[in-house]
Amino acid sequence: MTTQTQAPVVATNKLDLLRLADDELFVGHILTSIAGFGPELEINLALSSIGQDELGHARNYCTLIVGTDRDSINELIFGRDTDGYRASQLATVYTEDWSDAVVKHFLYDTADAARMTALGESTDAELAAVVDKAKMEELFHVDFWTTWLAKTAAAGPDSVARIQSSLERFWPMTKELFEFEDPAALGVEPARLAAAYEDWSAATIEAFEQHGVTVQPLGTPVDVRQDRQRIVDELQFVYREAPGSW
Amino acid sequence: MTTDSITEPTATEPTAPESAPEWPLAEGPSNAPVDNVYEVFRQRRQGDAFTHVGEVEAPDHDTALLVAKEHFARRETCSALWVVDRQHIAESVWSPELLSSGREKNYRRVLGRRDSLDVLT
Repeated sequence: MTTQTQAPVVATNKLDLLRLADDELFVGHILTSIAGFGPELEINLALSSIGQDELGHARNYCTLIVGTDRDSINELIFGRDTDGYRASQLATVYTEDWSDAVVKHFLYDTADAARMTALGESTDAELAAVVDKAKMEELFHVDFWTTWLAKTAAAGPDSVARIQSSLERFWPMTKELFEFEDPAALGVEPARLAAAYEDWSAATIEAFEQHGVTVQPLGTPVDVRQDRQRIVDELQFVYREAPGSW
Repeated sequence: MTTDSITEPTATEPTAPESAPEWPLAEGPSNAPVDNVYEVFRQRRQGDAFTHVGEVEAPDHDTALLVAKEHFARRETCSALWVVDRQHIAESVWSPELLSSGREKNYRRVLGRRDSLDVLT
């Protein structure tokens, strides 16, 4: 596969916006990709809808980086080298198992909703508007995964053990969702994000404990480089078939 | 998902639990439920009547509402949803001919209340 990087150069003060865009891009890509493998038709439709929401949010963040020009957005999304994607580790985990999917997205979507509350207060009016637009959809996502965490945990000890195992791998990746290179460039106080993380973390630990799942202290995150490469390969497969013709 | 399943008379009884497929996690809880079909009703705006819009499969009311929200509230106007376990719906067994015999009694129409002729059509 030839690598032809056409992506626009992103200014340093926009790199955190790119992080937000890439988180949504990766989560949306994986959800829409696994939408054929859910346990029921209803679930597959929902996974696909949620994934499409996330892709839309990614696009909205991209407009804050390169403007509304369609080609620039496409190039930003599809034209980067693998190392140019800045998605968080949790967003990058390619889930292929129901317990992993439930735990990853429960963590991601509740954390995303929490950080979006902080970002919605940004002094950057454009960012605050993009976040505000996405907020209602995020409530759909939180509702969906909260219910499925409860339903999956209620299915018996085997399910609880699977959730425990998924959580042990994913929990160390959660803090990163609230950490940015330069919060000031996002128009948010670092302390506001730190507080959002503390509140989210306490609420999440309590939620898992209610389902009989113990949250371990933050350890070392697992390596997601293979997952990142897989996502980028899938994302760019068609785009690279005919560079410049989209 | 069809929208006419309530009005179409069905020959079959609601699925009996023993003939339903086994729940994949049957080794977990002793009485793990089998998924049921829930009829979904949507209210477009507050104050409107609820209209049947389709059905979803779900193990319980909470999940039925959750998936109904995903499928019937995302792209169209919606102010509230109802879900009803299909097993709790009683359907008439009278023939359509019998039930539509009122069409021949135009003289009973109370046109004074409403001047349109669509009262019984």
